Amino acid sequence: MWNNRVMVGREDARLVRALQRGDRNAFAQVVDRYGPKILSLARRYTRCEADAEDIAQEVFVALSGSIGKFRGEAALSTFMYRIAMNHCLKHVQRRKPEGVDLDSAPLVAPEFASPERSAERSELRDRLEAALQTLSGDHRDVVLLHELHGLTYAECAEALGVPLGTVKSRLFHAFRNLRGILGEVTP
Amino acid sequence: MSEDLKAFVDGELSPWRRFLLTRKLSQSPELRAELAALQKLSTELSGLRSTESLPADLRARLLQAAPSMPSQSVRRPTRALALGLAGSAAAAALVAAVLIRPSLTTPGASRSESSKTMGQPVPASESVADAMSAVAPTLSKSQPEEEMAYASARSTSIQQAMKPASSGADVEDKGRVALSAIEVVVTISRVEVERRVLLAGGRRLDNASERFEVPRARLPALERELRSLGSQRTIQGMQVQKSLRVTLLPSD
Repeated sequence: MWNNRVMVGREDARLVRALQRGDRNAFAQVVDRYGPKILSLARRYTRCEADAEDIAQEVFVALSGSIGKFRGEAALSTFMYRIAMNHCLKHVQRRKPEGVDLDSAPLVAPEFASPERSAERSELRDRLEAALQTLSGDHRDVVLLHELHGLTYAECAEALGVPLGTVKSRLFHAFRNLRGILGEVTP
Repeated sequence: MSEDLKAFVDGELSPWRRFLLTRKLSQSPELRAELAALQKLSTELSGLRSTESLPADLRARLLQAAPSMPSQSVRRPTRALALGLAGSAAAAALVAAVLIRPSLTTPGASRSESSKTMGQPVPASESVADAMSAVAPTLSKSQPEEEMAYASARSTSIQQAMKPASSGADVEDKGRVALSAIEVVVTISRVEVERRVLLAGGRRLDNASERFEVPRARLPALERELRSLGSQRTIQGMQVQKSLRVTLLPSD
């Protein structure tokens, strides 16, 4: 695990240097490496694919504009997640109802779920998804980043702009809440 | 359950605290059961991780944000609230039918039929350069900046979409790249209906009725989307009747 992170870190450093030189191939590598993750994260904060894609696009435009100032204080992935979280949270804040009761809509819009995927989705997944939606925003953010995107506590702290102890505490409370919710519905 | 226990599961505990917790675990069956429950929930949650790749068209858009070309901002026009045009969520009914011209599916053969219907020939460009020049009017400087950015992005994506044809990968289309315009008239009562159309068409509609150009390479995708939309009876559990009027128009 540690070796893997070191390798990724070195690769990231190489990519950052290439990006700062304006290397389009490096940018394509970053898009391929992080694009799916950013899109997946954005989908969690939007209710339609168009919005999620917009956010992904905004993240890469922001990356393009800010990579010159990036000094490697954090991993490239963390840097990207921080940009992504900023855009996702801004989206949530500015989201207004558009003739649709958004509060009653699921976090993952039905249009994302093809019939095949819906059929494959297990009851457990549904229960987990439902439980995640009951968490507060702060708790859900850290669960998404840590459990679903594999960020370490330190990376979560960096991406969310909070102290490491806050991440630890939020995860603890989020898990306690999740277990309570899932415990209630588990036969 | 303690915060340390969760951190232990995640491998985030300092060596000293890990040592202390390990001792406690060895003495407490309840704590071990707690640990197992946390590990189980972590494993279950990791099963929600997405393994999907990027849609090809989105990847192309993202690539256009490359730092070496900062002027090529590819922001699509923000969806200004077109979505309120439908009026109310209560009015879930849309009118009409989906009329998709045959040329959507058989690009080469349908041109004459399209011409009969529309009374005008649909121009076909013989090269990417010609095709690009057909798009050129959309890059008029009289357009707002945002629209310009979009038009620029669109022309680039059109260029990319045409690469297979120009390189001979698609024998049928080799050397024959036509741009068609599609008029989409949509009466919408649900946000999702409109958005799906927009995704397929490659842009958003800001009015209930709007004409926009679609590169021929993207027409099959648009057709599939429209047909799918036409057969969809419910959206987010609401019964809806959809109505799209789609007509191929000649590009001007």
